[in-house]
Order: sequence, then C-alpha cells, then structure tokens
Amino acid sequence: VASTALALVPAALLVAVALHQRRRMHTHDQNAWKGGGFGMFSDIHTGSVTALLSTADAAGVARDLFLELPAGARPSIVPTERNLRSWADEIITSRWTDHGGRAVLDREGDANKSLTVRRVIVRFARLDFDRRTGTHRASVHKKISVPASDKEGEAW
Amino acid sequence: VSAIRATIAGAPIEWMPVVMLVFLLSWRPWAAYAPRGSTAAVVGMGQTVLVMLGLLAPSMAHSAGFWAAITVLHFAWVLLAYHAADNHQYLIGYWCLAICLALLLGGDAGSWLLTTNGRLLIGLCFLWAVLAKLAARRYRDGSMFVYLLLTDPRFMMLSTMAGGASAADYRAHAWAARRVRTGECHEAAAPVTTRLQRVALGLTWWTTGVEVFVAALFLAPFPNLDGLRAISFLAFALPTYLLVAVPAFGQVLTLMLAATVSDISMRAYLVSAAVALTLLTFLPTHLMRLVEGYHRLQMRRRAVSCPDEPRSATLTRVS
Repeated sequence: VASTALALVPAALLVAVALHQRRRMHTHDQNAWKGGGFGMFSDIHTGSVTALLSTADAAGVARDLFLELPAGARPSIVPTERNLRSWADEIITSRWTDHGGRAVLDREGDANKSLTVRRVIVRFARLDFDRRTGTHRASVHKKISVPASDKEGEAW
Repeated sequence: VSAIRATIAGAPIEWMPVVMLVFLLSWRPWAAYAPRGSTAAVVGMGQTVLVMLGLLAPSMAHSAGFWAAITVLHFAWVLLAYHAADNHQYLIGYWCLAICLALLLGGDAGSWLLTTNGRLLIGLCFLWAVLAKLAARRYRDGSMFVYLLLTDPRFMMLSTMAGGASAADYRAHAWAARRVRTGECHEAAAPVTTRLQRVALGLTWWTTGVEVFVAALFLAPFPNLDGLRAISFLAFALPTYLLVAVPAFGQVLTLMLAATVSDISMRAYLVSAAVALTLLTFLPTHLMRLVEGYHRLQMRRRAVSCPDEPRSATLTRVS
C-alpha cells in the first residue's frame, strides 16, 4: 500500500499543478502555453502588453511614446495587476529616448536626448483570431495608469 | 546501440539515474532563464554542480537524498522562472521526483515504481494536452493552427509547401497581428486560402487523434502493450519533432518510455532515439531558414514586378 501511494505522488503533483494552471488561466488571463498545464499548441498566444509613456524632454516639451513588451516577458505570460504595475514602475525608474515615436532605453545617458517619464499607462489586451475571415482582434482587459510622482496609481 | 544496450540491460532503477544525469547535463533546463545575478541563476548553478558530482560519484547518483536535492532545486528554479519554464521542465521535475521515490523504495519495488510512473506521466501529459486543446474554441475550429501557419516561422515550411501560403500572406498577417497587438486598431483582417484552412484542420484533428491514442494506451492498465505504446508514441513524435525543434521534450518522453519497456533491444533503440533527437534539432531550424530565404526572394521579385501594389489587409480603426 505504501509503495502504491508513493508511486502516485508524481502523477498527483502533475494533476494538481495542471489544475492550478487552468484556474489561473481563467482568473489571471495566464498564457495557456506555460505553467505546467500542458496547453502548448492548444491556443494562440492570447495576451499582449503595451505601454504608453507620457514624457517630457529637458526643455519641458511633452511627448507620448509607445512601448511593447516582448511576448515571453513575465507580465505578458502572467498579466496579473502586480506584474503589470511592476513593469510600469520599472519604466518610470528607467531613462528613455524617442525613436520615431517608440520608447528606447537610453543607454548613453545623454541629457539632451533623455526624456523624463511623467505617467505610464500599461494595457493588457486579449488577442483573438478567426480562421474563416482571417481577422485578428484585440480587446483591452486591463489598464493601469501610474503617475511618476505617485506610484500608487489608479486601475480601471 | 550495442554500447547503450550493455549500459541499460539491468532494471530501470539501476541505469536510469545515471542516464538522466547525462541528459540533465546536456539539456541544462535551468539555462532557459538565468539572468545574471538572479536567484534563478544561483539555483541553476547549484543544479549543474550537483549533476556533475552525481556523474563523478555513481554511488551518490543512486541515493534518494541526492535526487531529492535535484528535485527541490529543479522545482525552485521552475517557481523562480514561472513565466519562462516550459511544460517539459515540469515533466523533468516529476521524473526526478519519481527517480527519488524509486531509489527510496529500492529493488524490484523501486523499478516497478519507475516503470509505473513512466506510463502514468506520459499518459497524463498527453491527456492534459488533449483536454487543454479541446477546451479551447480557437483550437477546435482550426483557428489556432491557421494562426500558427501564418505567423510562426517554425510552421513556414508546412504552410508554404502544403498550404500554398506566399510571402505576401505572411507579411499581411504579420502586419495585421502587429496592428492589433500594439492597439493601433481593434481588428485587422488578411486573406486565408481554403487550402491553408484544410491543412490547419488536418493538423488539428491529426494531433488530437494521435494524442488521444497515446494517452489511452499509456493510461490503460493492461500488460504487454509495450510495442503498441512505442508505435503510438513514434507516430506522435516523428512528425512533431521534425517540424518543431523542442528536442528536450521529446527526449524526456523517450527516456520515460524506455523505462517502461521490458525488451532490452527496444529500450536501447529508444535511448538511441533520444540521443538522435539532439542531432535532428538542426533539421527543422535549417528547413525554416531555407523557406524564409525563399520568401525573401519572392518578396524581392514582387517588389520589382509590382512596385505600387497595395497591402492586402483591411483595418477597422479605433473610434
């Protein structure tokens, strides 16, 4: 009896982790491909995380910049409010430059090019695709606004 | 094969620990996420050192405590790399735990535990894969495979050769997907041919069928199914791993399968196949590059012959 019980431990762990992953998919919009639920190739990568940075240059001129998070990054795979907020905080504490409307990390530290972030709006959108019409769709499910001066921010 | 045959002639509990350590060292699963200076990198380094020690001291590799440490470190890394760890990393962890428990029992009971877990873990892995697929609307209606065929470079060879997709189709879908991803519009459409949809539906139901077959055979509590199980697994593995370069998943499944079969020759061929999977990895990658080159050539030809051709996608602007 003891050896049978021991034999079932890895299988029971597999089932428990897979159930937990399925639950997180519904409660946290977690990506089906990760998390131990064996959902690879079961769905498209359903989430996209982007940010809109309200910035100002050294002369105080305002500029809105766009930033897209890589598909494999933590907030893209597990888009909990905590992960999205943590990315927003990371954006605020980093230095950026304008590259044709896109935010690029300022690695050179050039004060003339460097922009100050005043507010970040992080957005998580669910993606969809219909094979019959070839239509790609996105609908915003989470949106967090974090002002630079007050990291508490607001969430809608 | 004969050298492998001599190594794995005994009971699974005798050879699996060392074989698994060799594979762990070649995979280094923890290398998938190890940012410099992070806890995940430290845990990964600890695992590498432990695996090397186990290979240098075979008595250590056959102790349950050693495998308990490997299992704990592996799952600690999985937790730290939760967003990056693939499903096979979990499977590797369950298999390390099974080896630990088998060594704890020892003898025939230990080998029985390892064999039973080989079957159960493969069967459950495929069962969950099927359930996850059937639960997803986009999988059931074929949209998932059409999407992959038109946006994932790994499927480019199949979509070009079997589905007749052109470089322009790829470009139109990449453009449409990017527009909706970045929030520029709510929806964007690009053409999908009927032929490509048929290929996608074929892939959808072939994958479901073969995975149901594998799950049923491995979970069925009947003896003497070794041959059928190996055939069903090969029917899944050959097309899958020739198309998609994820050798570690194929290798851990093949090793687990090898632990379940009683025929030593079949076992030796399976372990050899696991080694061969590493060498075969280059094939899907190079085929993908070949088709990418073909598509680039197509785009250049088209740009020369029709320089003013409009893009073939329509957009619904954000209101």
